[in-house]
Amino acid sequence: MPKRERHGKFCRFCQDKVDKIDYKDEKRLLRFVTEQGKMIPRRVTGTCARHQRQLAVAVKRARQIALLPSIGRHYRRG
Amino acid sequence: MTRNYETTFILSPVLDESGTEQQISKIEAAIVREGGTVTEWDRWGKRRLAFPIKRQSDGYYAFLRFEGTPDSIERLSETFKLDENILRHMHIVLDD
Repeated sequence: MPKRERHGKFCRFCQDKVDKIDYKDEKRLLRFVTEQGKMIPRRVTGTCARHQRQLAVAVKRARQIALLPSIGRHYRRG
Repeated sequence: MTRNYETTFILSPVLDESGTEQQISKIEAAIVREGGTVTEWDRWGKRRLAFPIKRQSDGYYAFLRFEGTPDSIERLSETFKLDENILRHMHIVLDD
């Protein structure tokens, strides 16, 4: 396991000129959560403050409609 | 005052095609009854859920955009919650 994954220090959403983060875009959101579905801090991903706030809302919405897991696979029974 | 909403529906995967269509027109009827206007449906079809809901591991995803009043949303939620064929729904306000 690498000690620290080195991400570029730029906001992916700013780069793509995303105005509003879409909670339905689960493929994209998946890159900003861990395998267990927890959000990755922006100091790691490089997301800007504005987009990180939007991202948090989007992830929470995606969890409500079961697009993203709310509990990590390993912790789930059955 | 009306607002634009987007509502996600996860319908039961047990329904067949005609059952799904029926369910969708039932939802539309409920919204029209509350004085809303349906703008657009967006259907994803059956998809795997990230976690089981009501013992189902799949669901039929449909997104609905419509115009309605804030207090109609509450009443609609009550109706949708009671509907066995809707595994889950979520309202989002599309502002601007």
